Amino acid sequence: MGVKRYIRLFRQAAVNRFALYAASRADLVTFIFGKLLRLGFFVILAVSLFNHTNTIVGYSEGQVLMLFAMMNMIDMLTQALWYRGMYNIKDWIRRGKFDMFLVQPVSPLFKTAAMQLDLFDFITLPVGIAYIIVAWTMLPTQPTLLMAISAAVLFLFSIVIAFSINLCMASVAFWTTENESAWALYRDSVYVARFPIEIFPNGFRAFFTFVIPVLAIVSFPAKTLMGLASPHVLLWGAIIAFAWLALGLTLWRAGLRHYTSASG
Amino acid sequence: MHRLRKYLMAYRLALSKALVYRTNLLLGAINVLIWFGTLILLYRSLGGAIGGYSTAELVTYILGTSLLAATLFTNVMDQMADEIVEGDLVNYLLRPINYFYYWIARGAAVRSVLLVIAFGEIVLLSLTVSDDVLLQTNPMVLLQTAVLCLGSLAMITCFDFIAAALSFWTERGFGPRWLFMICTRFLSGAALPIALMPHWAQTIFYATPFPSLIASPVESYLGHLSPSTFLLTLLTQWSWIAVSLIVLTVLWRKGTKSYVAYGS
Repeated sequence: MGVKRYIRLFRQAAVNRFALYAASRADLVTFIFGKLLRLGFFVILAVSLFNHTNTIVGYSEGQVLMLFAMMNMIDMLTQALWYRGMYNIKDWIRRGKFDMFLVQPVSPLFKTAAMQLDLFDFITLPVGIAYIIVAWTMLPTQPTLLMAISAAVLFLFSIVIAFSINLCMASVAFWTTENESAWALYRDSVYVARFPIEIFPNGFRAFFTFVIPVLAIVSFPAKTLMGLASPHVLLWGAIIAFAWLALGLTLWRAGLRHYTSASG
Repeated sequence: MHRLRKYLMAYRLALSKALVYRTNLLLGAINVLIWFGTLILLYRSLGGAIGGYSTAELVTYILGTSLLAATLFTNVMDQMADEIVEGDLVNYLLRPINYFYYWIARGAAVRSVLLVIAFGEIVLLSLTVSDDVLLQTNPMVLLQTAVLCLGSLAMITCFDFIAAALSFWTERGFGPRWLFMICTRFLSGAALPIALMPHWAQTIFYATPFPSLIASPVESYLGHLSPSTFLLTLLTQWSWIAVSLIVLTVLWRKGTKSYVAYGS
């Protein structure tokens, strides 16, 4: 019963958001064009470098494109599903609008995360899928079925990790609403996570894979697909995903308890 | 001097505001470090010269772009757009203050803070990759670079005003502003020398004004511009500035004529 209600709410939120976006065609066109431009830029970056070199830290052009495509897909889903809502929570807290979330018979986390769908990213989703398919065909060794299934499971873990990191950042807004740079930091970390992690020094790589796992988000599923991951990667993926989810939910609950309302 | 005083006051107020949220500033600085530091690591991992650029030239190119990008790319246009959309612009139109000069003063305050931070970051990055940093000592080349940097500043100021002015006709104008942001960051050559890109990409990039923002001054610093190329680059840059000024004037006149703001 509860789940059905949430599905209905989610569907209604999608309809409302679409109506909102359709009302501003200038935003619709420019957003989609901008997203495609950004995606195209990273393709150009890879193609440009591989015009002058055969490998980057041992990765072929197809493998680098797969890293870019994988990051693009995870980023796209993150943006489409919850990023906007979690980013906006600081404004809702500042203006007292968050009070409305608490008095409604819906989970405030669901209301925050899922009611601000970014349909621009849904619209560009086919391009993201095509990007992965093209990169897949360019891989030097085609993945086996087992590798593909493992990569799919790790992809889901990556989505959980991305959600949990965003949830932690959204929760921080209960203590300070001036955390825009933290979000920008996440965005830039996501940008750099698409590069082969072997370019980073060992300490940095370990820290951003296992402690703040922005590098794991891409490298775990992508390297599994390429047959370059360690045998324990599924276990590590599960541990990191559930540890971060637990941290995110704990911070969120602590934030709710700390919230004292700001509406006037 | 008397007429300048109000703008100096705007500068001082914006400076103190920028310094209030120090954590935000620090995170913003880390942001720049992560993105440009990663690019440096990426280019160093290539292990040698590519497309006529030595590793030192590539590293210095990225250091130069990081300094310019950190200083030029601010969120000034978003604040102006908010003032237009929320009706606060009326407060300025009724006062003996020039809105453009006012925002140039405020932008200068934000940029001076960011410039100081960016210098610190460059020193930090340079120390870690000191063997790959080129110090330009030719005074003529340094003068040329300074002239092009001034042009970049004039150009980004025009772009900020144009992007903000679009809010006269859209509810928020966030889409067009976001597209502007993507263009300034990716088409300006801030992540990769445009000369390394495929010819078709170079043609597209150079057909836009954005390379004049970042790529031109940095290529000048590297000593890649002969006197005749420098003059052509300067002419191109100021032609784009002239076009931007015309577009801005037309947009602003039409926008303020049709502007309607509601009091609360």
